[in-house]
Amino acid sequence: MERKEIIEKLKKIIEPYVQDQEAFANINENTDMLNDLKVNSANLVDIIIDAEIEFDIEIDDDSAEKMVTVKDAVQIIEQLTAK
Amino acid sequence: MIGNDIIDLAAVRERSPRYWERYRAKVMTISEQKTLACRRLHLRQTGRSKSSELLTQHPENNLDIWFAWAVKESVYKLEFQMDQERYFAPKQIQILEFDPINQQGRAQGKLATYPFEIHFIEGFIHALVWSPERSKPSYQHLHLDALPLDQHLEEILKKQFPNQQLHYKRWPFPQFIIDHETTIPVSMSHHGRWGAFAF
Repeated sequence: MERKEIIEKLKKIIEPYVQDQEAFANINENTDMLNDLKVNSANLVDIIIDAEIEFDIEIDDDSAEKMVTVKDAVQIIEQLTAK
Repeated sequence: MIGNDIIDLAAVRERSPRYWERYRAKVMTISEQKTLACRRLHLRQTGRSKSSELLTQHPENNLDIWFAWAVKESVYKLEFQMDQERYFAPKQIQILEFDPINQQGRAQGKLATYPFEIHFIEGFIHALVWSPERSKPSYQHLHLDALPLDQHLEEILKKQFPNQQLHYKRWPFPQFIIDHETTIPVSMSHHGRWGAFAF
């Protein structure tokens, strides 16, 4: 799957949980999901599960711990979808 | 050091039972799932506490998940006051014990083990965690139609420290500075319609 396609799908997954719409409007790969987008940490679990369903992958606990920025999430999804 | 977290059950999105199974597996260890499943059964059978009423009335609300989440998030906030380390690893914080009658237990964080108390109130769950060397913190739950949490807490502290200057500092963690000298760590939480603080 193309990186651009992953980013677009990921943005749709993240959007319902974003509390800072201005930061979301300026989202980029370095955007921190908790600090910048003000996603509630409980919703980070939702984002992980929604990504698993959307990309038909399983994100283990070690990988989930590394999903801090959009770039981190995209890299993990890229690795798992390439398998 | 202290931590607290509140979960507004009405703000939790509706999802399928299968979804909540996945969520539970991401947040709780197998041991915690077994422990809390036993407690839930026990509470339903004995019906001797507020939590038993809620668990019986709202079994579909996955209260064990929100119970575990609130405790873990509180431990995370407490330890953040100590080392300012950010991480996301809910299963690295573990609930070791829970007494459903007294609504108290112990949880293991990355740095130490902490006592906790849980409040099952109609509509929300609130967890309170504190360092073992201090006494149980004071706390308050508030509907968010009331004053902002920090202002409400400031009003309380003003009465406790009359004629002294209070300054609220949000970063790196919530705290009140009294007369530019003494620091009082506080913990704020809000979710949906509800907020809570502890000090």
